Amino acid sequence: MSAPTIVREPEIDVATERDVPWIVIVWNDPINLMTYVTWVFQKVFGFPRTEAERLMMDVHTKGKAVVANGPKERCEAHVATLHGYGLWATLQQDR
Amino acid sequence: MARVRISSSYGGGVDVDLPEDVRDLLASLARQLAELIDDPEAVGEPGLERLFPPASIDDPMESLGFEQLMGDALRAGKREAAAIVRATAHATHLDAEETLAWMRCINDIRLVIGTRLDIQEDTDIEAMFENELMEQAAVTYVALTELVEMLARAADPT
Repeated sequence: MSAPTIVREPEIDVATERDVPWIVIVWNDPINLMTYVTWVFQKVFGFPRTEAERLMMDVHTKGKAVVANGPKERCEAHVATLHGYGLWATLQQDR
Repeated sequence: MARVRISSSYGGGVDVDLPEDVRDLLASLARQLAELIDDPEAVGEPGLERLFPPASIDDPMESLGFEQLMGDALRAGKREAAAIVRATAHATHLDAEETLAWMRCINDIRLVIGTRLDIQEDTDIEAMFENELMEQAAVTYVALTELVEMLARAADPT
């Protein structure tokens, strides 16, 4: 009689995968106005104006900026809110 | 545009001084936006696609899941903003919620028109005024840009 094979569930890997935080990225686009994007960042995230402007300039000059991070559900909610304002936002895991 | 003024008002709202023809245009464009959102034949049209971009840059399954999760609420939100703009197109004062609806809806209309005109960072919009096919859309786009700019300056984001 052979001993039953012990199948190890890759619990650690799964946990690690799940723990990789998600990030929300806003991409530069040629239509949304700088003043409008700054306003939306202040409104949605409660950033002070200077912080909102810094992020907006990152989007404008670097092509994109990370505006939020956290659990997937929260990032999805942020992306939906930003789409509601017409910003081009995506989410991904921060690898 | 003659006599165009949007100024801060108590409680996060704004006071709006606009010519009647601009107000009529806004109401009409808001109605067209709502129709576009619910037009089954517009699926895949670039202007409409721009209003609901994919939520993932490289994972179609992620984007599909997001659309299933959030799509209805997003469409409802844009429909509601358009309805508020139609209902308040002739108002001289907008409360904070109405101001928000104006910003979102007018910006969405800019996104649709700008996408159809293929606006890029270096696009010379005024050159489009000379193009018979583009003139009307380009003039509207520039007027809406001015409105969004004024709203963002006048409205309190806090």
